[in-house]
Amino acid sequence: MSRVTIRGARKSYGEVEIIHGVDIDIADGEFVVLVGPSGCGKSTLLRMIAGLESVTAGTIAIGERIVNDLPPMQRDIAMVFQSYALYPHMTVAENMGFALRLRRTDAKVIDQRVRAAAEILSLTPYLGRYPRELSGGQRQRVAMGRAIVRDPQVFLFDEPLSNLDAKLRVQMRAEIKELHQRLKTTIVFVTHDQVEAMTMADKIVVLHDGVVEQIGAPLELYDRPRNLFVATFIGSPGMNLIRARARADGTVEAGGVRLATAGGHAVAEGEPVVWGIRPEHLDLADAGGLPATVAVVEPTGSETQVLLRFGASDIVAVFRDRHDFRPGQGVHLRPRPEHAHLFDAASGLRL
Amino acid sequence: MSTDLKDRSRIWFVLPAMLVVLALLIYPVLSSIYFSFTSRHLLRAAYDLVGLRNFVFVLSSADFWDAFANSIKWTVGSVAGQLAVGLLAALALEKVPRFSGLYRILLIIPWAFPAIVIAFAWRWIFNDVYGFLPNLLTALGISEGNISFLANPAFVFATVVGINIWFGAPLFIINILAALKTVPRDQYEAALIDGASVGQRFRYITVPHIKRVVGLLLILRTIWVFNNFELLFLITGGGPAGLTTTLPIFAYRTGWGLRQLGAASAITVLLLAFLLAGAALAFRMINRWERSVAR
Repeated sequence: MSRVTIRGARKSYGEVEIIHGVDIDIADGEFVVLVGPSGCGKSTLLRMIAGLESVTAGTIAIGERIVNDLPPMQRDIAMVFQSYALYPHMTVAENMGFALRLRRTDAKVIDQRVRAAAEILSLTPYLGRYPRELSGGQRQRVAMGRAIVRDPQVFLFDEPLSNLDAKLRVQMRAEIKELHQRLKTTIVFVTHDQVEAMTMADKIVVLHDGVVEQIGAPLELYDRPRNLFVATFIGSPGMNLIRARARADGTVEAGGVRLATAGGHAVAEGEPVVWGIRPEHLDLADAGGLPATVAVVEPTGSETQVLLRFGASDIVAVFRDRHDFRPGQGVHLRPRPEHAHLFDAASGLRL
Repeated sequence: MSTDLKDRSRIWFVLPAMLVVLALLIYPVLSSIYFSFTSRHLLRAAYDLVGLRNFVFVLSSADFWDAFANSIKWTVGSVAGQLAVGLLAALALEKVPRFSGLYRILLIIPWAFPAIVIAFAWRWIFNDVYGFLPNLLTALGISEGNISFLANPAFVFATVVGINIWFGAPLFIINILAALKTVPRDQYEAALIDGASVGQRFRYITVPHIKRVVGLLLILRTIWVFNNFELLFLITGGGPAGLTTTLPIFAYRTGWGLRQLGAASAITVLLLAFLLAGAALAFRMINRWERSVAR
C-alpha cells in the first residue's frame, strides 16, 4: 500500500500537449476514480502512473519514490486492462502466477498465493482452464487475480468494466469495491461512466481536455460542482441549466420567471448567469414556479423521468410518486431553492 | 424434387475443375507410382512389371544416398536460414511503422520473377571472371584472386543455400509481420508490468502468437525447397561433381539422362513418401498447438 502523488504532470505527443499540468494526491489505501469523457486524458494519465507512457514534465511519486524514470516492473504496481490482456496460451493459474514466476519465486509460494487469490475471487474451479474457456466476468476476475497475486503498492484499473454487459457490470462494480474494502490497497480506477465513479470512489477526479476540473468525494461533487462541466457530467440525468440574468434582490430571472438560490448572490443586476437544479429537486405545484410543457414521459418503475420544455430550455424532472403525465400537458414546477446552483455565464465557475 | 434437380446440377458446375485436377495432379502421381514398378525406358514402348526391383536398385545406389544427403542439407540449410533471416527482419520491420506498404511490395518482387531470370542473375553476380561479387572481394583485398563460388567445392553449397535464403526469406518476413500485427498490444504491456524482459516477452507473448504461422510456413517451405528443381538446376545443374545434386535433380538425371523412367519414378515415389510422412508429423504437431492456443 502506498500513496500516489502527482505534481504538475504534463504529457505531449510532439507538439500536441494532452495533459496540461495535473496535480493529484492519492492517499494510502484510497479508492480514486479518474473520470471524464473520452479523450480527456484519463487513460493516458493512468498509463503514465503505470510507466507505459513517459512523463513529459512534472513528477509522479509512488510512496516516497519519484517513479518518472522507472520501468513499469520496478514501480510495484499491477494493472487491469480493459481487454483484460490475459495470456491466451496460459491457464488461469499460469496467468495469475506469471509475474511471480518471472521473479523466480518458489513454485510452492506461487501455488499458495494463486490459490489464495483464486479463493478470494471464487476462481478455484477454473484454475486449470484457458481464458477462452471463461465468460467475460470470469476473465475479468482472472485479470484482477493476476493483480492481487502480486500484492502491489497500487492497483491500476483501465476501464475494466466496459466490456461487460450491464448486469455483470453492476455486479463486478460491487465485487471490486468489496475487494478494496478487504485488501485496502490503493486503487486508481479509470472510467468514462460517472455512475461507476459515484458508486465506487472514495475520491473522484474529474478530467476534461487534460485538465483537472474538480477533485472531491462523490457527493461533494454532486452537491457542490465547482463549474458547469462537473455539474453536467456528474449525475444522471445531468443537472438542468437555465440561462438567466441576475436581479438586485439576489434572485435571477429567466423567461419572465424569478428563480431563487438559497444564499442569494452578489452579482450586479442584469449580468448573465446560469441557474441550475438537479432533476429530483423539482416538485409539482398547482401554480407559479416554472411553467413547462411535458414532452416525453419515461417511467422506470421506481421513478418517472419527465422531459419538459421551458421556453427554449429542456428540463428533466424525476418524480418518485407516480403522476399521470401526457405529452403536451402544461405543468408548474417548483424548484427547491436550497438545492439550486448558480454559475457565472462567462467562466462557468460556481458563484 | 426441385432440390434433387439442384443437387444433380451442382455436379456439372464442379465437374470441369475436377477433371482438370484429375488430369494434372492425380494422373501423373498415379502414373509415377505405376511406372516405379515397371522397367519403363524413356525411349522404348515395351516394358514389364518388375516388382520392387527399381526400389532395390535405387536404395542400394550410393548416388541415391548422396543425393538424399544433399537434399537434407539443402532443405535444412535453406529453410533454417529463411526462418532466421525472416524472423529477425520481421521483428525489426515491425518497429518501422512507415513505408510498410512499400517494403512489403519490394520484398515480394523476387517472387514475381521466373526462376530462370533469378538463376541467371545470380550466376552473373557470382561469375568468377565478370561477376560483381568475386571482383568486389578481390578489389577489397578480402580474397586473393576471384573466387569461383559456383565451381569451387568449398563454396558451392553455401552459395546456393544463400541464394535460396535470399529468395525464400521474404515469404517468412511478410507472413511473420502479419502474424506480429495480430498480437494484442496490451499483452506486451501486461507482461511489461509483470516484469518480463525483452527475451521473456518474445518467448511468452510473441512466440505463442506466431508459432502456428511459422509452423505452417516451415511445412510449406520444407516441401517446396525439398522438391525444388529449377532454381538449383539452373544455377549449378547439380554440379560440380554432383555436389549439389538433390533428389529431384537425381530423379531427372536418372529419367532423362539415363532414360531409366522406371527407376526415376521409384525415386519420386520415395520422395513423395518421405515428404508425406514428414508433413503428416508436422501437421499433427500444429494441430496440437491449435488445441492448446486460444480461439
